[in-house]
Amino acid sequence: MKTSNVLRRVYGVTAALIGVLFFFIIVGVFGLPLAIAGLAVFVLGAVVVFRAFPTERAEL
Amino acid sequence: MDLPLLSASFLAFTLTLYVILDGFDLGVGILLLFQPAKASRDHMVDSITPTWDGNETWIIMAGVTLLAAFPIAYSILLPAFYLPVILMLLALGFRGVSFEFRVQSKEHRRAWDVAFGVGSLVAALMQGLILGGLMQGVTVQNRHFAGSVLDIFRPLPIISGITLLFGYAVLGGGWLKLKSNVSLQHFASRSLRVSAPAFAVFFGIVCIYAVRIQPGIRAQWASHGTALACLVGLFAIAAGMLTALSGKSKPALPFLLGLLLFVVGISGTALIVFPEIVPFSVSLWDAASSSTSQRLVMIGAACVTPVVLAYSAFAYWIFRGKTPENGWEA
Amino acid sequence: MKLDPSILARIQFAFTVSFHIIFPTMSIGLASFLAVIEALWLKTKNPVYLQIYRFWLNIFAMGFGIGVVTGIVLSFEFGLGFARFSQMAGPAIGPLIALEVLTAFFLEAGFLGIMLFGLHRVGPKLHFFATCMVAVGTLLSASWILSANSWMQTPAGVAIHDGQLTVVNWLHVLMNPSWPYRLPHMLTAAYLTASFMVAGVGAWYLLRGKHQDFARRTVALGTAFATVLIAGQVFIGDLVYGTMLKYQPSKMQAAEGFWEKQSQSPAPYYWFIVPDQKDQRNRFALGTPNLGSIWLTHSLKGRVEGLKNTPRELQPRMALVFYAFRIMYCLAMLMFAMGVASLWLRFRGTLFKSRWFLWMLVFMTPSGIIATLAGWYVAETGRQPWVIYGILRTVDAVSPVPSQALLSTLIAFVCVYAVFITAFLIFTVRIIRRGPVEAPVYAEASGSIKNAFRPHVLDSPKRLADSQFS
Repeated sequence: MKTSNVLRRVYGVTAALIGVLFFFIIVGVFGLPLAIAGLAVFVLGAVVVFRAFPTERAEL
Repeated sequence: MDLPLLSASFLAFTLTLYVILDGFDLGVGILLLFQPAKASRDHMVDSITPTWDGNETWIIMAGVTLLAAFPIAYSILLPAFYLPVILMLLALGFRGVSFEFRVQSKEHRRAWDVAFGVGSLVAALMQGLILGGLMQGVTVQNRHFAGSVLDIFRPLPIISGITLLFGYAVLGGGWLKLKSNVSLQHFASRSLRVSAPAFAVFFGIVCIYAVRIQPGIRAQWASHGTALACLVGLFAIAAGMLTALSGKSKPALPFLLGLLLFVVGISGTALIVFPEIVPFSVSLWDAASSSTSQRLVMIGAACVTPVVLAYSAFAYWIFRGKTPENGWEA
Repeated sequence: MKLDPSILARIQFAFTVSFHIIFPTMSIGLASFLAVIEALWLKTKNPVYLQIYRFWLNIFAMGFGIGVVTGIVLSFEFGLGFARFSQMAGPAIGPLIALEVLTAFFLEAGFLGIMLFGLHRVGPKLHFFATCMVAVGTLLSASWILSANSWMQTPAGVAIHDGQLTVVNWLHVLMNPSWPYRLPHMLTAAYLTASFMVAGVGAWYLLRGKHQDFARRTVALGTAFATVLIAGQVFIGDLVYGTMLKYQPSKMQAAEGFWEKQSQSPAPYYWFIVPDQKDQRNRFALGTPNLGSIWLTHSLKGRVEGLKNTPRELQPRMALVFYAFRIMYCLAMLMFAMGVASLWLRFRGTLFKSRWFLWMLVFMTPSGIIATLAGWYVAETGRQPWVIYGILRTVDAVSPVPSQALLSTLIAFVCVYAVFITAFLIFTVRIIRRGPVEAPVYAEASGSIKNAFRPHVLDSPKRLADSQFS
């Protein structure tokens, strides 16, 4: 449905903006300690996504 | 502790290992050009495939040891031998990539085999050229090379090139006798009957010619006459044995005799060159870097070389025995 | 055209080293990738991992071979083209490279034979060990050579007496100021290169609907590694930037495209400039307002230092450094975006179905190589006019070799290397077209997995008798 499409777009754009924010944090715009923290959060978050949303779930 | 002497010994060691190990690799490559049967060519290349990379690495070790321990000699010799070194590098490049590329290409395997063979041949020739150039002497002024890059294309280096070509062919033939199947044994024997006497003859010509044109060599013969004469005698005997028995001997004997020829040749060269490193103008000690650099190289070499030799020997052991008929992939 | 020997020597070295770096970058990444894959195979016994291993082993072997032979060239080229540099720097970098050969080259070479040809001759544990040793060898190799190059960028630990260098402190030479940052930067670049290569080929198969199992796993693995690695890489990259700003300010000044000693406040971030080195200004410049201050000074109004802060005769060429840096940085941002996108698609469960994403992966197959090359161009052109920064200039470092010799050998290198890379590309495309070998290799051959894993010599009579191969 159209609303769900719009909502999906909003989610997508939000995800992109969060990505941009992480980029700025990790390259050190807000200082080194925050960059380290941002990197740690990003990597941990990525690992959580890898485990929680396995790519093989729909297969054999 | 005489660090430059120690470094020079290590340098000589790496060069010797290179010449012997890549010697038979290049020798097999040269012989490849004379082998018409495709299956036999595959078999020949298979015999050197698993260990060629380690063998070739010794020349890098030699070059880098020269840079680290004798940078003045490095900076004189490389421009002096600019053209043959680059030709050698390109030839070794073709030889190296042909290992992988010939396997990937069924239709053009013959072409890659030619590249392999020509690369091996040119590399051998260039190495001999450089050796001859070393014996001939290099123009040095104020610790820098002051000659022409074309100086190397003169009779002594050229004959040395041809000599080494036959020498590597001897090693290659010996290796094949050791590792190959029945059908290649004849081929290897026939090659030895040509390469061994040729090697001996050209070696003799080089020795005589070198004495005639380079006073430095004459001087060395004057001071080490007996030792050098013994070496020449030993060389002649070994070469004679090799030519005579290549028919039906123990598989390892031709290869061992070939090794002996090279050890003798290298010893003689060492006797003539020492104590210079750029014959006959710059001595070891004049070309050496400071003791801190020498020490690091020596400590590293002392600690790591035994390990390297151990696992290299292990790799040879894994691929011991006759080379399998159908190659390594099955 | 000028036939100045120093220019020719530089072009020749630039050509051979650029060509060379492509292959070790791939090899370092693929070697570790292969080690991971073999570990997964040994652990899960899933034949698809063996498929992946054998597929990429083929390409790895070719690339490794070219890397070795083009690398040998470099170890002699110091002397061939830059004899005066060799004489001076030999005492410092010579031992480093000697240790590289001793600890890394021999290790790789020694175990490569077993890795490539020993699948049938040694047990699986020893074979895995061999793969790991090759991967470790590539890592050690990168460490030593990065130390040598970093020493050229930020020299330390040496004393100079009339043109001769003596090493005073080896720890300072080895761990010179920029090495601790440039090494992880290069290693990560290599791993990223492999990740995008692997993911790109997998994506290609998914788009064609072929080799599904192989493709899904390689896309999943490739994107996962790439995502984590690119985050680390932009972090490390910023640290490298800060270090070089401190020790080689001229390089970073040239990299950002500013000329004036103090830029305006706030400063823009330039994407496109037409620099005029003679007039010391940009004839045209296009940038995003304010972003320069934010990214380069980590503040809202900071001023950026321009190239005029460096005396003219010591300035690198801005055009080269600027565009090399932009290419590398833009690719980094693109990689980061791909990483975030991959996380999003995993969340939605459409990682393998999103066609635009898969196409992007295919395009980005060579992205790691291009970014690495661009980064090295920043490093090397940005260091000019120095070859050892602050100690020896490039023009004073060349060999006493005539221009004709340099030019003819340069042409020879270009021709020969053209053959190498053409063959490499043709064969790689062929391997990709052929696809991974479908049937599991030898797990069922002798009736039991245990038999297949037992080491044996290939031609032993019993083996030939039992053999169930054709």
